[in-house]
Amino acid sequence: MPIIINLDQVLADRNMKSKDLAEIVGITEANLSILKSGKAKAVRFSTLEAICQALDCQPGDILAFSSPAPSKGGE
Amino acid sequence: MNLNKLFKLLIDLAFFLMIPIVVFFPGTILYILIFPEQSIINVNIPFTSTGFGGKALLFTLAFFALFLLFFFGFYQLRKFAGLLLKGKLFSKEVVLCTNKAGRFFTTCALGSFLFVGVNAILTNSGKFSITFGSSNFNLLLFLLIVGVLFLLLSDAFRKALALKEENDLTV
Repeated sequence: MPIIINLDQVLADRNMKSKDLAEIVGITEANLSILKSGKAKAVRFSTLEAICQALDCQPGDILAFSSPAPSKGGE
Repeated sequence: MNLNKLFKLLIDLAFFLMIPIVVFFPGTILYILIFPEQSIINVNIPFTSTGFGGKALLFTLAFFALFLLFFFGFYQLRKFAGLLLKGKLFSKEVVLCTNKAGRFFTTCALGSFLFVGVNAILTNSGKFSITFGSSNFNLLLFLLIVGVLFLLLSDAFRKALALKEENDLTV
């Protein structure tokens, strides 16, 4: 998936544990783990807002876009 | 009574009533073939009135094959009813069961149409037959509709499963 989640990095910078973030944001640790591992298919704006508020950061600090590598054989 | 339970009960009833036919059909036909003069069993298969010739055997085998298709369709339906009862409505098993049931019922109905059509051509005595009420044709058409409906249901369940997975993975 070309969307990369940098939540681990931001959490480490803030010296915050996943458990604490999950509690502040109001989501389960399992769901936060899904988000961190990149398995999530979508993120609600309300969740993103709560995470940004809790970590005092911008959505761009957590999410990044990486264009997929071009397939072989192309010109 | 819960509708799911009633559905499973009806399916189980129909399924277990069909088992003796599947089990005893080959034996019965074998008995008729070995003892063609017997007068105990009366079968409703065409061309058996004058003995058990090649045509009758062909029709018997076709009849049994079509019945097996119907039976396997019911087996899948039974599995589907069991999954409904367990609350596993959106699962890969349900998609697979409904798809298989749809394929079995559709094939059975199409095969039966062919069977009935060939029988009508072979036994045509120059007269048209009109049946008032629910005729074999109507029932076969209904079976075909049910088969196609199950294929549609399977597709709907597949889409619903994808949506559910997406919803489950939305944080």
